[in-house]
Amino acid sequence: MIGLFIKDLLNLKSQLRFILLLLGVYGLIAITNDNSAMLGAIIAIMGVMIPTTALSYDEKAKWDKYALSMPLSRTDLILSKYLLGIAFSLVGFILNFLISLWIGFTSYKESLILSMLLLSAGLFFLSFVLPPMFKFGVEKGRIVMMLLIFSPTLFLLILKNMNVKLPSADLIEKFWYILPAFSVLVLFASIALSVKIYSRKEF
Amino acid sequence: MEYALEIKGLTKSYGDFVLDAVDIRLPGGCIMGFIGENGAGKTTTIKLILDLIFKDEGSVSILGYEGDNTYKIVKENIGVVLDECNFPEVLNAKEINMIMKRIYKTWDVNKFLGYLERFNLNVKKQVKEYSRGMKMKLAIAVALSHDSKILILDEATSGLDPLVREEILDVFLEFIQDESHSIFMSSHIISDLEKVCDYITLIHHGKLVFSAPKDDLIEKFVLLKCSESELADLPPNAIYGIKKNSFGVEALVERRVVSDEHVVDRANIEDIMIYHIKEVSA
Repeated sequence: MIGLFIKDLLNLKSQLRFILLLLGVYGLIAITNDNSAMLGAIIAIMGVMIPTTALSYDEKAKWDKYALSMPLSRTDLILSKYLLGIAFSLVGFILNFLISLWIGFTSYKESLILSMLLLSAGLFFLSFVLPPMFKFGVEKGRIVMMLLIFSPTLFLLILKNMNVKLPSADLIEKFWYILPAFSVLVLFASIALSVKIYSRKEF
Repeated sequence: MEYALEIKGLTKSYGDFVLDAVDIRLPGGCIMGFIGENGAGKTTTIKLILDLIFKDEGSVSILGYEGDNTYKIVKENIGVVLDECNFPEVLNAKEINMIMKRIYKTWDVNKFLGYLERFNLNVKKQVKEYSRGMKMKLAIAVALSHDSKILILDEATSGLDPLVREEILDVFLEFIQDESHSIFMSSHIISDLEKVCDYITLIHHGKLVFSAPKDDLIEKFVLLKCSESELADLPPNAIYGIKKNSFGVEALVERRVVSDEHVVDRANIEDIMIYHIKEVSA
């Protein structure tokens, strides 16, 4: 498992440089505009981009079938990708928290809530994106990912058209506390689903 | 008798292809060559052995273990080289060493570095800059640098020049010096197999044609050159394949049925394979 994790990190070396550059640019924008929303979103997406990029590299090298001839189980291969996503999501969480504090337009509590929210969103995204990637491969999985990105907007639009009243600010605030716990639950369900999908995969 | 690899009644069907009840037994300390046309089922068999695809029926036991929870342990003792190098291209040998060290409990850094030096592989060059020969040598170095007792090779020497193949075959022969070691290798380069193998297994259209000691095969068969009428005098069950030409016929027959009057040539493994497949498909 650790071996797989290290393999992905080494594999992503050049990508990591690119991500750092991206973070630098958006960081600068955030500082000059006193607004870290965009940066926060980019950081949250990082937790999804990194494991999917690692997956696409594996696919290109047909690494999986080779790895399975080593003392590694199918579950190990799945877990290592989630671990990668979770690790970067947590790094993103800390970054987001520090940046929004540093830029100083929010209080300690608000920064924490905002970062938790972005973390939850990232984990949700990860949970929905990885199972289709394991099932259909990275290319087709990306299409599913695109659909997923637009579905919340679509959902809200439909609700608006149906004249459903938006929930009160009070309710939304309560929701913020539940969301992280809920995202962890969804994450576990996603891991279980991916393990199941992958245990039936033939190479 | 303890077999390094024992396959019984292995069956797998895809819509238009069936691997049909294949039996293979590879005794410890031996090299078995696994031959057949493209699409005969060699890679399917190897994938089934490695649990990359799921069998419909039959059993596979490697070093006495059948595919259950112990499988992860036995994989420490299996070295695998597939028909291409499956390392991500941006890695170099030094990084691969770092990774493998954490995947195999029995990983031997010195052994690995020794092979890299012997194969003249640059440790800091990315895999994508390697030639095909270098990539295969890297994969072989990995397969040999943990506690491997059996090597499973799928077309590991194809696409390589004779010098590199010779070098690799020498490594295999060294590996087999230890009597607890064995090798199961598929290849299209029959002359390589003839050089190193103790056993030859032929499959055709998903069915096992024969699996026998190489020397027995060489001993059993001859190439007979004669007229069609002369061939008709021989018992049909001793004839394994016929090629007609303007001078008469050339046939693979059992040595026991030929007499001093017949003109015979030694049949090599390639002849034996080709004539068997012709017979089966006729």
